[in-house]
Amino acid sequence: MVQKRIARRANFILFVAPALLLYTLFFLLPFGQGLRISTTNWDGLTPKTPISMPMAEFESRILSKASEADKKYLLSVYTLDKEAGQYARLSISGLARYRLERIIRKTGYSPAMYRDVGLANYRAIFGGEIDERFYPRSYEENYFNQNSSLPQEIDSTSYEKQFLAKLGPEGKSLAAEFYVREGKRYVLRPEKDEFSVEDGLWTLPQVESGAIPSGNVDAFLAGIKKAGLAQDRSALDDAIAGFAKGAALPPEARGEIRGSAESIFAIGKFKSLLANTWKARKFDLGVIGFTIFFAVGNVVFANLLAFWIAMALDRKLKSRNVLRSVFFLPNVLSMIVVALIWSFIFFHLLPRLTGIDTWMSDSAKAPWLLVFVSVWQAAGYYMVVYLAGLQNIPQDVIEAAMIDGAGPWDRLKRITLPLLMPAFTVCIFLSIANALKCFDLVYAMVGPSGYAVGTVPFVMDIFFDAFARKLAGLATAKATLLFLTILLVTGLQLVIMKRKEVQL
Amino acid sequence: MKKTLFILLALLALAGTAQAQKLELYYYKQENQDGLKKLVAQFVTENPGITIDMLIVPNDADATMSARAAQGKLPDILQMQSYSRVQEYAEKGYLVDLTKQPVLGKVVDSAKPSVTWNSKLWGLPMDFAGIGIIYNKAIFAKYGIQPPATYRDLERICRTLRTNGMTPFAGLLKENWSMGHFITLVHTNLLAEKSIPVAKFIADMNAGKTSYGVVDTDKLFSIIDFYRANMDKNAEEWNWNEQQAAFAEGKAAMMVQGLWSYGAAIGTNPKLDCGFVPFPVFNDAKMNKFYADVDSCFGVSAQSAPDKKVAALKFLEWLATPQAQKIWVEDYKLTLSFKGADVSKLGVPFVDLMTGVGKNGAYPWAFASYPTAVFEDACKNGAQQYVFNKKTAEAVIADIDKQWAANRKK
Repeated sequence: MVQKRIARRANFILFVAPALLLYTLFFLLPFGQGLRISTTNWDGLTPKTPISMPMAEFESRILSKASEADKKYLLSVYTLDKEAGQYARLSISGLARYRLERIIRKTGYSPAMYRDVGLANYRAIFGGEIDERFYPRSYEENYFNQNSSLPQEIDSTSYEKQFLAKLGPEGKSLAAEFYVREGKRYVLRPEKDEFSVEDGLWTLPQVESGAIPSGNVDAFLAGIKKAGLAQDRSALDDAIAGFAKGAALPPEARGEIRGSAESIFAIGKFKSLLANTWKARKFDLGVIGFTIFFAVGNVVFANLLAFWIAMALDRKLKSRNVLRSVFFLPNVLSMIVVALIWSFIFFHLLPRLTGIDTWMSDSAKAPWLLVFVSVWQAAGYYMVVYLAGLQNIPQDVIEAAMIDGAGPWDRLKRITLPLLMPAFTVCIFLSIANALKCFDLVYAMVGPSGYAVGTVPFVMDIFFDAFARKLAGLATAKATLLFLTILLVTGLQLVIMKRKEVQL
Repeated sequence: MKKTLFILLALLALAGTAQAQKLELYYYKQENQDGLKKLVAQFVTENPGITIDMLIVPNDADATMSARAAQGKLPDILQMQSYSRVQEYAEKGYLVDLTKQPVLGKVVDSAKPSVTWNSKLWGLPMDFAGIGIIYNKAIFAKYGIQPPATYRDLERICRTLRTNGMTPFAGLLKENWSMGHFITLVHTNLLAEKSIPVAKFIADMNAGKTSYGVVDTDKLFSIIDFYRANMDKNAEEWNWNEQQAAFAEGKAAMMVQGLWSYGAAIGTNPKLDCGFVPFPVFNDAKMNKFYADVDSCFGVSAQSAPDKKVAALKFLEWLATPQAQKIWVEDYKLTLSFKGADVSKLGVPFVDLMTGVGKNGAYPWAFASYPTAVFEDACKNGAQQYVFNKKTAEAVIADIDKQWAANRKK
């Protein structure tokens, strides 16, 4: 029996209209509100309509500028506390709140931290005016601060590459007076240890008895160190003279003081050389760079791995079903659990297995590790899609090709891949969108210290902007830009790849 | 007869339900949640008309609370961090003015600045917390070390420990807040060296009249470098759990932390014998004081209905009663800001803190008065980036100044 076709209008009312309604309510409206917030300087906390305000200010800025009907409504919402001299309101929601916001907007009042600024946020993002950690940049790593003590041990790799290599012969001989190589480290010579030199002063009987107050010793040491860094001999002599006068000091004490001062003065010369030379020019990906790196890494590696496993598991293996479940298992775990597992592995297990101590805190390794963990978690899902695609390729086409003499590589290139294009389209689309939106994995693995290590994805930066730096307007602007970027990239990718799809 | 009985019962039930207030209490302290739950349960037992739902949002309280405040649905009772958080909420009108409440008359005067804004009190100060050096007495005794009174003592202690193969400090560099606390600790100490009162410094920074680098920045960063040099070589990999574990297992002799971490460490190793001293920044022992202040307070939301406000105020009033104070100290394991509070049940480090503060005074938690964005980003991330060698000392100070100027309290 033939079913009656549902009339077009009924079709529209039953299916399309509700869908459009939901889409408008739950996407277009919030998106519109987000756009509106991105044109303000909102700090995320200030309410648009004041909760409480001093009496005089409320009357002059709001009540006096409202119409009669509006004034009546305002006074019904705000109650006057005569004792405190304040107008205050309770919480209101829904349509009453919109009405109140509209009335307040008509009076021309806007709080200082929730004010319209037009496209200023967007201009700041594109003009390079926001925090420098957002953009990729080259910066200088400084390994030694000249005001601190010389380290007892230094790792040889950085010391040799970034310091010794830059020195001339006299610099090298000066360095050799201070640090001696022992295995994989450079160790400070004991006679150059400032701590023991300073002890010579602190253990003077006059200091320990309190005849010379500790403040004097502090000031003296600070003075000599400063003189040593600048190699200013006259300042050194002044400092010694200033310290030694006043207190009645026996000759041994004077000798001790002069000796210590001279040692510290000499150490100062090396310290200044070390601080000024031991640097390295490094490149920080910034938020934008890391997001792109993470997205590209994820898309490429997750899809390659998923495709490879799918090809492997498409063959007739006895353990095929078990293996398919096993490879899909990581995808079942929540990102937080994945982060916990791998944080544990990186901290406890791998250092013991490989002898390399720093994993997630090493800026060179951390981005790759994050891509690795994310691919580990995601590949199973795409593997399932590829498997489904592979199983849709009819066997007779392949057999016909084999009869015609096509080798395995030919079969792959000319039959499998073209017929698998829809699967590729879907998987690459999903992986681009998911990678660009990644937040929970990186937040659970590195959290706010992402800025120190250089692994902050875009969404995490938006999160910190809104809640740590109190720049909700800027954060919303960044979010809008991210949305447009994802829309553009995935749109382009879909158009290009749809063209390549082949029908059988 | 049946009808009148029925009506009576109905009225009674109505009266009961009319009286039953359902309050929401929000708290952020993750440690010892059972203690707080016990406290609330006791209050509910004593006040049958009121029930309290408890809500915790540990690390990102800001996000959730901002969202709820914007919707007008803040929880009725709020546990807040003192100073900046209280001032922020009071300024935006989210809190009830508690100045005239009788319970606030029972609080020690030195705790009141932490909840003051615009000369009014907006919260009930609760626990007094301190950041300093928690040290393992057994390890100190083993090497014949006395707790440090001066910076030189600390340098000597670290030298002795290192020559004996013991890590001096258990560090925690993976999370940025530990360096954030540390840099503000040393900075606030150094303000005293220049005789700048903290309130004046904050006011000048807000007016743009001074810089964060007004203290001796050479000393500031050399102390930070000293602290880093005496941690484990790979301290950048360590988070809070690893720091607690290392200290509790005796792999490190000291940790610079708040006393809340002592509670966690003793949970891991009940046999730990610890003491608490201020981190000595100076060589003049008299200038080394605890970095301690009121840590948290309870406030009442201005957005709640009037009868809920009354119930919430009743809860605050009840916190000062002897049975509440007892549960607060013994079960929630925190100190109190009430006059005459007894904290001996908490353990030796807490007694060290309160006696130290009583004798010498304390440095207030200046960071609680920084604009939130400055502390969260420029201080915490800046100090961490310095320790990771990504930023120079001058850049850290310049960025703090820049962010403060952008976030100046208007």
